Parts: sequence; C-alpha cells; structure tokens
Amino acid sequence: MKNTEKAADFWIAVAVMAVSIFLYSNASKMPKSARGIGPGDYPRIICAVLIVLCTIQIIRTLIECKGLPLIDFKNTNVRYLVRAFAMILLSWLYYTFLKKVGFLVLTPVFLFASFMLFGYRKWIRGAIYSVAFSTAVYFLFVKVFLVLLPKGILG
Amino acid sequence: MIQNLIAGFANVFRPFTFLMMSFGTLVGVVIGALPGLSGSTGIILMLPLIYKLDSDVALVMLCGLFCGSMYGGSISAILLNTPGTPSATATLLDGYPMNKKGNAGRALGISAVSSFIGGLISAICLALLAPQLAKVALSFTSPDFFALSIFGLSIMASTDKNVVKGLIAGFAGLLISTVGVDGVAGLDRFTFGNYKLMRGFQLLPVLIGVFALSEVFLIVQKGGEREGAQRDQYVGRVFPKSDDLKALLGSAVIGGLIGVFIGIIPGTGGAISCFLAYQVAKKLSKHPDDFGSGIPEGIAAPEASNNGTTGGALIPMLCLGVPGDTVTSVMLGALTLIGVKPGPQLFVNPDGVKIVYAILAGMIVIQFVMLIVGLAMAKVSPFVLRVPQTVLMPIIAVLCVVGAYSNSNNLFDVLIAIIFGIVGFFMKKFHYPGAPLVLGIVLGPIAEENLNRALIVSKNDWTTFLTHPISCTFLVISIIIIIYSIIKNIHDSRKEQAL
Repeated sequence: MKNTEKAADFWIAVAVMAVSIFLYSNASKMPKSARGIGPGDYPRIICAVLIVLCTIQIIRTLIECKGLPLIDFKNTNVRYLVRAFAMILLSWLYYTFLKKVGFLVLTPVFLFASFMLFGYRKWIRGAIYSVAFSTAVYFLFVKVFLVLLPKGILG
Repeated sequence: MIQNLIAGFANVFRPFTFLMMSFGTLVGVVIGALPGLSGSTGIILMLPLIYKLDSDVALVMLCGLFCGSMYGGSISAILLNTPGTPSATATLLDGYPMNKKGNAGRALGISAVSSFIGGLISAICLALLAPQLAKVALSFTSPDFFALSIFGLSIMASTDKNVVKGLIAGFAGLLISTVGVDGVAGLDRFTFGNYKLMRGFQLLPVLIGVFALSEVFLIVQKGGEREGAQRDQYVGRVFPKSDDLKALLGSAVIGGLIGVFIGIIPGTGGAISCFLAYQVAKKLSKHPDDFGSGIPEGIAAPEASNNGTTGGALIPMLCLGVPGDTVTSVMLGALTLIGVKPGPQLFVNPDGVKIVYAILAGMIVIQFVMLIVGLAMAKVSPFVLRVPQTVLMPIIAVLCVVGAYSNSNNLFDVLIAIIFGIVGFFMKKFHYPGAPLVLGIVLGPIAEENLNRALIVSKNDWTTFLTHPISCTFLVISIIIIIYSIIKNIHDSRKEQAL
C-alpha cells in the first residue's frame, strides 16, 4: 500500500470520527422513549460503532505508517487530481446555472466542455454530438418520461 | 407454485413486458461490453425509466439488464483484452488468445452459449429454491430481521480487502439513513434547519452519485481514452460448431453450478466465481496445460459461472432482502424506489406473488433472449467498442444529472448526486467499497424499525436478540465472519509487508 493511501486512510478515519462524535452529541439531546428506542438512540448506537471502527483504523494506519509523514503531498499526483476537480467544478456549475439558463441551452455547453476536459479533440464533431444528444435527451425526458426539465431563458 | 410460475410466464410473454425485457437485456449487453461501465451503473441509468413502468415489468427489465451485462463483459475481454466488468476477468485468459488466433467470433459465440447455459441453470435453481427459502423466512420475527440486517451488512463489508473500511462504509450508510424525519416519533434528525433534508437523502441521487457519477470523476482523472483497442477487427462466424459445443458443455454446466452456489452467498459475486470455475474446469480437464492458450473450456467455465451467479444472487435478495452482490444491492435499492419491499412477505401477498413469479419466469426467458441478443451483438460489437470513452463519459454525466433531477423534479437531488459523486470518487480512490454504504442506506430503516419493535415486545430486554435462535445464529455468524476477516486482513497485510 502506498503511503498516500495510508495517509488518506488516517485522515478519512479522523474526519468520520469527528462527524460521528458531533452527531452522537446531537443525538444525545433528542427525547428518550420509555419503551423501545427513542429517535436519538439508534443513531447513537451507529455513531458509537463508527467511533470504535475509526479508532481501530487510526491505530492501524499509525502502526503501518511507522513514522512516515501523514501529510504526503510529494507522492500525490496533483495533475490527475486537477482534472477530477475540474470535472466536479463543471458539474457544480452545471447544477448552479441549470435552472436559470435551462437544460436545452446549458447542456450542450456542459457536454462540449466535458468532451474537451476528457481529451476529445475533434471540435466540430464534439459540437454536433453535444447539440444532438442534448436535444434527444430533452425530448425523451420531457415528451416520453414527462419530466419537466428546466426551460430557463427559453421559458 | 406451478400455477404461479405459469402465470409468471404469461406475464413475461405479454408484448410490452417482453419488449422491455429484451430492451433491458440489449442495454445490459452494451453496457457490460463497455469497459468502465458495470451492471450496477446500467441499472442506475435506467432508474428514471422504471418509475414509468409497472413494478413487474420494471424488475424483469432490470433482471434482463443484470444478465445481459454479465455476458457483455466478455465482449471487451475477448476483443480488447480488457474485461468490461470484473466478472469477465477470467474470460480473457482464454478468450483473448482465441481472438489473437483469428477466432474472435468463435470466442464470442462460445461465451454467449456458455452464458446461456450458466444463466439457465441459475434461473432454474432460483425458481426452485427461492420459494422454499421464503417459506422458512416467513417464520422470522423482529429480532431475526434486525439480526439479518446486521448479517447482510457485515457479510458485504467483510468481502472487502480491508474489513474495517467495509464496516465504516456500511455503518456510514446506516447513519446517512437516519437523516430526515424519524419514522417512530416524527422528530427531525440531523436536518440542521434545512427543510429539504426532512425527507432524508433520497436513494436514487445517492445511488447515481456513489456508483455512476463517481466513475465519471475517476475516469476523467485517468485521461479518458482506453488503450490497446482493436476496434476494426473482423469477427467471423459466431455460432459455435458442434465440436465446440461438445467441448464447452461440461465446463459450462460445472461453471453454472459453481456460479449459483457462489451467487447465493451474500457479498460474493461473479468476480470470485469466474476464477473458481476456471480453476475447477482446469483441474477436471484432460488437458489442463492447454488452458490459457485459447480453448473453449477456458471461456465456457468462467462465462457460465458469472451468469450462474445472477440467479443465485437474487435468491437471498428476494427471500431475505439481503443482496448477493453489488449489482443486486443496487437492484435492492431499485426495488425500494418503486415501493417493493423484498423479503418473505413478497412470496405471499398477491401483488408480491405477481412480481416475484414474473421475475422467476422472466429469468428463464431472459436467458433465451440473451442468447439471441448476445449472438447478434457479437457481430456488431467492434462498432460498439468504437464509442470513445471521451464522448461516453460526459454523456453519462448528463444522464446522471437528468436521472437525479427526475427523481422528484428537484435540483436539490442533483446537488445530492454531485456530493455523493465526490464521496464515491474518494471512496473508490482510497478503496472504500460502495456496496456496503448503499446497503446501509437501504437496510437502515428496516434495522431501526425491527430493533424498535423487538425492544417494545421484549420490554427493552436486549437479550431478546440472543434468546431467539435465528437472530442469535445470524449475530454469531456475523461476529465470526468479521473476526475471521480481520485475522485474514492482518495476515495478508503482514504478507504484503514481508514482500
């Protein structure tokens, strides 16, 4: 196992543990039930198990790391991660502007940008695919599945 | 049972049901053939469509997709030396060498016929075993169902290389299922004033995020394009000659039976069974040294075996609500989405009987459809594989967004899908399994309801889970499985360090 993954395991376990502790304390404030379980009891049990599991994972990674740094930027291939984050950012922008701009206008733009991000370099074909696919999906979902996709500026 | 099965066949042969079943099988073959897309992704992309269908039609279509994707995985294994799905990994050992000898069509034909034999064996076993297991499960009480949920979760988590990671994913899923208005007291849990969270995290956007969108994020990171593809090749004659049929029959039957057995064990699946079947066929063969050089038996055993797991995996899912593998855990989610609650009650209530026997009959018919579709698709498969991943993945991203949105015509579900896409991306990147997370979300409310009911009946006596023999057995087996997996993990990691 690479050190990057061990470091990630450590920090993921720390994060999950922190969330579990926070939710455990939140659930503790919920009302109790005289018989059966109250609304907070079930999440508290789950949080407690998660805290134990995360503790095991933290101890395990610390033993396996044996003094290696737990923040390992050297071995992290940032170039590859940038592409993934760019796609995530693109998806988020698509979600943010979908209602305002509308599906039929925004989807070809999103698709074309994604093609380029993935490394597709046939510009004209990419533009044709983007428009054709967006139109096909729009009519399939609106006319056949009766899903009201956002019309945006065309509405 | 026979009468119900006949009614099931009548249902399956209704023109619309048959059409949708064939459509599902075709989509499954195409999706399975495309590396990077699995049966679970295919089912997720089809979920917006199943809302518009009757439950029985929708489920038969999903079963077709499940079986089709199992066969489809072999197409790219044979033509590209890249398995379309993990279940087809063993197929390339002999499939690709046979292709390299100029017999691509022969290899694809052997794969289609073997998948048919394995699938048919599994469908017959499903029709025979599922109603019997359901009869046993009808005697289960609340403590048993609670323990069964824990059993399902622990067995799914323990199949991972690191059992602790699997358990963290599973329990995180249980915790996610608690968000929203609590079913018992009607109190808001973990909504933090956001009214959109009052209905909790909807399963469809979560599934889309964890399994489909995360795959897009992961593939863009790798650069998109596949390597080593030979997409313009000549396929040739597809239907196997009589010599090949004779050669493959024994291995296919053995592979099919192994597949059914492995499929029934929750948390396993085609990826494990294909290698097991390959090894068994090799040991039983009169010419074991020829394995790996491109012989029919080397394709038949793994292909029959991975299709054998389909019916096997459906047995625990339908009878107990515990999925057999990742695809059936997604199918379990799909069932929940259309309001079908899997479990023994499904085999006794009239609506459930209609659905269940449509599935049992459908699984048999699907194998014949898959054989025809598979043989036909083998001819055109090089064209399908010409679709570049750089075009396919952005299209899938759009389908994910539209699919999430169509859940309730709500953009908030798109946001949830993106968030869980990011979660799924990191889970895949750092080897946290997605199946236990989804299973936790699906089983969470069932576990809570039965835990509450069991404690009310027993007057808050927690020993009730140990005094009921069935629940006690499930809990003991769960603990044994987890301890065994932890010991195995430690052993494996020491071995890894020593190397």
